Amino acid sequence: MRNKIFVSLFAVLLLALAIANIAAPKKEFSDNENRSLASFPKLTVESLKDGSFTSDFATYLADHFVLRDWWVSVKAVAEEATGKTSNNGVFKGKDGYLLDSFDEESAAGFLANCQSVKEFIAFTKETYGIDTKTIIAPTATQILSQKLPPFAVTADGNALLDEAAKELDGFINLTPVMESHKDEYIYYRTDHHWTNLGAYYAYTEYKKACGEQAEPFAYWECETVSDSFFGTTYSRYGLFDGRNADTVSAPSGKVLGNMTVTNSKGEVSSSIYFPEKATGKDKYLYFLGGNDSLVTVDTQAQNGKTLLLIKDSYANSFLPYLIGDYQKILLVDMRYYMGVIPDLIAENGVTDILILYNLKSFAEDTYIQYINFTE
Amino acid sequence: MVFSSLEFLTVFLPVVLLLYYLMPDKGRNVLLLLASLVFYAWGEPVYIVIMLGSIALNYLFGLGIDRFEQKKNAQKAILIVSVIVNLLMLGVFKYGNFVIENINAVAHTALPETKLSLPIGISFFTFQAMSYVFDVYRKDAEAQKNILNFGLYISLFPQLIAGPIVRYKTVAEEINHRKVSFDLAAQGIKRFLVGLAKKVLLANNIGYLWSCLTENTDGHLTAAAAWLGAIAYTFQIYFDFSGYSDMAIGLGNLFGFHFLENFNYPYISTSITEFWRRWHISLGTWFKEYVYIPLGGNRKGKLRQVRNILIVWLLTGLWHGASWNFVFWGLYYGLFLLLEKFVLNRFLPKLPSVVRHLYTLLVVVFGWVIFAFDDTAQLFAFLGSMFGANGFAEGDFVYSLASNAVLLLILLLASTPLCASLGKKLERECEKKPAAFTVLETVWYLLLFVLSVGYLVDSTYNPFIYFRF
Repeated sequence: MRNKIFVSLFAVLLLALAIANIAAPKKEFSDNENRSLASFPKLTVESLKDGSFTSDFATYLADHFVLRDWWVSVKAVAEEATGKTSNNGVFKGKDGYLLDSFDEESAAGFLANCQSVKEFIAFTKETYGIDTKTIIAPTATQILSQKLPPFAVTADGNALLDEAAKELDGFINLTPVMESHKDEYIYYRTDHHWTNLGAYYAYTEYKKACGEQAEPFAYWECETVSDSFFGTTYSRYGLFDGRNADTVSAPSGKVLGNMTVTNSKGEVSSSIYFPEKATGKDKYLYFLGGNDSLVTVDTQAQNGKTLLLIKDSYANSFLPYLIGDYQKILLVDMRYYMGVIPDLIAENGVTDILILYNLKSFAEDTYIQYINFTE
Repeated sequence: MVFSSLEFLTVFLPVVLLLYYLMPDKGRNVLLLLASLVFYAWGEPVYIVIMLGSIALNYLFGLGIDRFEQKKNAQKAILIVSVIVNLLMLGVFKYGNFVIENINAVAHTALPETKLSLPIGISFFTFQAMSYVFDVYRKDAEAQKNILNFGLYISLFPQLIAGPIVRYKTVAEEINHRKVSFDLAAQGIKRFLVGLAKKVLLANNIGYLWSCLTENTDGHLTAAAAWLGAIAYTFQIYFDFSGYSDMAIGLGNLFGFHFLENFNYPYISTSITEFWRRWHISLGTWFKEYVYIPLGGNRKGKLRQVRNILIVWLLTGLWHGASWNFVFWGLYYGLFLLLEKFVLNRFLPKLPSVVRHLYTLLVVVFGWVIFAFDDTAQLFAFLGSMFGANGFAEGDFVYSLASNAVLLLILLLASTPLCASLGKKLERECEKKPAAFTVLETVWYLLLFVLSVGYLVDSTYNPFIYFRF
């Protein structure tokens, strides 16, 4: 009798799980994890033979598994319960900070990418007489290292940035300014980006490097866009406990004034902000709506200055502060951009160039080498 | 397909179980055969023809031996042909490139390597097929007249790709006649879940530590980290492999089979001889039955016995993979077994059990280090690290140890019979309240299931060590 109940229970459980997996509605995009989910693999003789069908099916099944988030959080809870302080490459830090890991493996590509940038700086100086500036922004993992869990080990970001400072002319080392403001809200707790305040401090350093002074922070009349932001590190850590939500703020659109923003598909809008994204899951997309290969911003500034900004997503929340400084800003994401950078510079009469990445994405990047390609 | 995957747990298994239990007795073997072929083809869509070829040939060998019942010589000839054919098949696919590489290295030739990859489970099903022909030859079992039933024996998915190596005579009866029952099914579910948890919760997690420590370091680690790594790997390989065997035995039960045990808490052994009586029992038995004893075993003098032991362990090593480190690993154990047999057995039993235990574990841990690296340079770098070539300890060791301390403690306890005996004790305590025990037990197995599925849904690391054999 005992065994009858036991067997029946598991039989029902197994069948229920199997049926639920088939019957449950399929999502194309996971809001929680902020990524597209796998689609059902194509069944062909070829895909069966080379095994890609079966491995793609496994990914599909895991991606669309019924109550996926719940199962993921089961693992996160179990990991915490057994004393693990990181899960899926995210550290559970103090004060609700979920900090992206940055290990030696991630750091491995840093110097090679530095060399690409160094070549590019020499090239732009020689060919166009432009003093290219570079910002490799320290991430929260480095600046807030005192919030890391006990004994956590990360690659030495400070040493890498010192190295970059030695190698690169026009390098702006943000470590001191971020260190001095580390008790302020300069990084999101649940996302790997900096906040609008962190980006502002970076901007002040940039202005200094240009021989100018930034307006005070109050000038921008920053407005709260959302106070319920759960970002990328929250998704990857997988606990989904709904705690320590972040607040996304941005310089007021009134202060920035009118502008024309053209994306790579030729779509035109009048703002660098995307308010509809603030109601979605990844509220950082409020800035620029995400990453695009080439975005052109024409501002009301009448100073004839054109900035080429080669960047990752850290630049998206940095961009608002630049609006008043340039008549035209070209934002290029090397991960998606297929054109030739020297051609872009020549065609647009670029007067200033800024390379802006965060430390981790810069070190892990495999596309930045293409800035030197001439065809 | 592997058992510790969502497609197995939530698609393949429910469908096959449902059909199997609905199917009348007569159709069950055919159903199980078809299911096994699908299971195999899922991971090995092309090489399934190799397995089908192996089934056809060995079926004919069995029939042949059966037909020539009166002619001993003809039977012997068939047996020899069957051994050659089976070993040749294994040789070409598993050892072909290894042989070519070594010929090239020694003779400075440039023979091209074959483009063949290793068909999943070939070492296991070839050994099973050979055991069948041997058993029929020795009249330990009758030849299987029905090729579908024979195909089922070779391809039976619970033990197809990572064992245990089921000798034909142990299941000959159950291939034709077996019964399922709630009692057996309950036992099977429990055993399967224990195996699943061992694999997904224990082996994968500690294996992740091992791969973190060894990847990108070329074996250059501090001594503390290297020892932690070696211990992690020691745990990983046991829980990985014995977890797989548990799942196989449990699945067997669900379909009415009784497979023999493959592991018996090997890490509590107090000698190497004992270790090998507790580790991968089905492989040890196979070599004993079909190699060691036919070679004369220990019945023809000490010298012959030494030779036989070395042959068996050379082959055991080689069976694990086409690489020199496996050969060394096999001979390493062969030497320790000889050492114990002829020297240490006089002293060991007099030593306190703590010392014997420590000695055994040290030999085993170093054995796994040899086993882990098929690149000799990496192996020596790692051994160097264990003896402090790169300093004693660094910060990352403390973090690795701190974040895995609880896991290591669980692994340590789970390597002993403690949990099983606690369970039994609890059952006795609850004798007057069987319902309470049932509830507790059910909750425990549900927990194992839920945790395992959780880890599988969010898994990035799920290798199978014994997959390459």
